[in-house]
Amino acid sequence: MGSKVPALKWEWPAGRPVETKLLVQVRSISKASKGFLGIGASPSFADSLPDATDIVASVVAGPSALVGSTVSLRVPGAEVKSLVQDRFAALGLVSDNTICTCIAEAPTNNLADAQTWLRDKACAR
Amino acid sequence: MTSATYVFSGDRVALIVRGKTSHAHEPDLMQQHADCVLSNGAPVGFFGEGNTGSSGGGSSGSGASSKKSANSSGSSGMGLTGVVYDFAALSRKRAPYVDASIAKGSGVVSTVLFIQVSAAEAKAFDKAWADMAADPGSFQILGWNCSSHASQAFQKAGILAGGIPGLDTPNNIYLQLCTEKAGKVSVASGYVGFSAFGSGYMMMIDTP
Repeated sequence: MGSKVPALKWEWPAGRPVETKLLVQVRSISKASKGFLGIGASPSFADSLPDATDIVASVVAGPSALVGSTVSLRVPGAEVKSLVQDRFAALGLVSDNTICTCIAEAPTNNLADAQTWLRDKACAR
Repeated sequence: MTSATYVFSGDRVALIVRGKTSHAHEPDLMQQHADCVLSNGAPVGFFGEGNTGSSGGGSSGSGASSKKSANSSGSSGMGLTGVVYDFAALSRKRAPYVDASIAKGSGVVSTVLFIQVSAAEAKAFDKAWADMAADPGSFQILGWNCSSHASQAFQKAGILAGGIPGLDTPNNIYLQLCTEKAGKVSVASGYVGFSAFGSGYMMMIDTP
């Protein structure tokens, strides 16, 4: 049984190659709260993201220690425009699996095909 | 869409107001942020770390790219850890501010105010930001925020004589510069990007 992965942070790749790829099944997609009077959305906060969107997903393939885990992260809305709940997606991680620099919707909802896509094409830079 | 490039050769610096779509546009209070551009074209900005409500985990600060001071707290925007982001840190943490294509995809429009300066003012402005990066202090959303720090740099360089009239907001320092530096400023708005050029950076602005 997988454990809860520490909450991931989003960063843009800035030339960093993906170190770990996860195949996840998206459980929920929701707009992030902007806090009291919208203060939480101020772009002067380091953690603020444009059109911040919260994702919760279950890891279905990747490093064995992470399979079965639940991951949560906040990403820019532009990165998840095509993401659909209950469908597969890839997460590309760096920095010892603490930072996500890539999120991509799988082109298939077939698990075996999605795993092949993850291995061969997903989050390739 | 039109695209223009801007080179900084030591005779100008800039204020960038993120979320400001044109010279006349007045962004909502919590929709704007102020960055600056040094005399060599390098983007730089002051941010607050540690506001709750983020997804937490994993620090991206490393080396000289982002230096921070101690003490952070709360979701109120007060008493946070101040941090200065340079191009490398902005590329990771705020790519829509330094990559025009990502800015376009994210819908992040900025207005850039170019300010002609003397060599001495340019040197002092750059030093003010370097000093701030070395010891950023705290961040307070009210009164000690991104625009407050931009104002500090402009004042230390002798570009501005005093603080921001009214509330410390990016648009208010923008208006202050337009007024007090009339004849020495020019404006461009759009999706802003930077690329390495010479010993500094070149700015590109794609106008929607």
